[in-house]
Amino acid sequence: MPTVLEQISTALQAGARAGATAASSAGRDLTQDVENFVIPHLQDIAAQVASITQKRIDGIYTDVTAQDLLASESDAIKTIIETITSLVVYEVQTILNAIVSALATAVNSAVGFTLLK
Amino acid sequence: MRCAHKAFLAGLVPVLMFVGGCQQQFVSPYSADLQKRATDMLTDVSTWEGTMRNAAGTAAADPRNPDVVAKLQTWNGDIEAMATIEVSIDPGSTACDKFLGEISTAVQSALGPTATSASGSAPIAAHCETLPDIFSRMKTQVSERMPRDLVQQCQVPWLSDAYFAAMAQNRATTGAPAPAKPQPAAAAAAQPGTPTAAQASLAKQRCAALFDTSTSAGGNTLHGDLVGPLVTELAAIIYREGREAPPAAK
Repeated sequence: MPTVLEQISTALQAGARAGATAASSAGRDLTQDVENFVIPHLQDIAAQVASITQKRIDGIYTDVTAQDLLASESDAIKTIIETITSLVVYEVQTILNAIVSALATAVNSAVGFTLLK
Repeated sequence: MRCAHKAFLAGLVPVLMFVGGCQQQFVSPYSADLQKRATDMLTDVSTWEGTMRNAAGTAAADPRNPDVVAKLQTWNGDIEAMATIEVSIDPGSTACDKFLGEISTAVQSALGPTATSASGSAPIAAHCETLPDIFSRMKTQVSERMPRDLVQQCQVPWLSDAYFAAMAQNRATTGAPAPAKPQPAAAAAAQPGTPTAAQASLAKQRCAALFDTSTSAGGNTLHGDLVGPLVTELAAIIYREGREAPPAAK
């Protein structure tokens, strides 16, 4: 019969391994996020900024229009970066909760009732 | 670099303090409703872009046209509806925000005052949950910049305000009793002018420039300059929700 210390120690090790596995998976996901979402959209924005600049040079756009359109492109860049930021946080949340869940299971098993939810 | 590393560790502490037995929620959970609304709006924006491209230089693309006004108002409502969903599921300020603040401070410190003052803007992400800021920017685009840019590029000089006022009134009073309809004098003032060929050509070029599509280096069709950023923002919301979606919803 393992002691409470042994049970919790084992659970934390299992939780850490689960977190490491989740981190490895998330790492692959985030790499794919950058390849599939961030880079293509940044390329699109680069092309649109070039288009706006050229049309201003050609006199098709007024200064007001060009400034507005470029401000919106800047907003779109922020959105892309913030989206990947929130996905990183989301993966941290997933890893953290995997470890917390393992700890709660071990503690509840040791005390014989639901102490941690 | 060493200082930045210490700041990073200091920022990690509040996050670790949360490891105490309950599940953490740093970002808004998946919302099928939010994902659907963003998808529907993206479809609507794309369709409207094609319509405006074809109508460039005519009354149909003029920002005074009731249809154009109504479309922008619809999108404004769509964004507000999505923001309302977000408010209902937003986890609020968390220890994660403090952690992000520490990271931001460490990065700015590492970059030095010159780099940070040159950017002249707030940190890119101040909160772990970023949707509220995204909706706020989308609203600015739809309610302020787009109407202003349409006035600059698509307002045709040979049509008067009275012409569009009469158009709006005719639509509002279709089937209404006669006294509610435009009076003859007002109708006369609302008669359209006739552009020269050069005027018509210039108006079409200036307006169509906002909606012209092109092909990226990767072979993708790019949206026009006016709706491109909005499309990117909607795509970001859809992508994010898709990543958070449970397997059964993917």
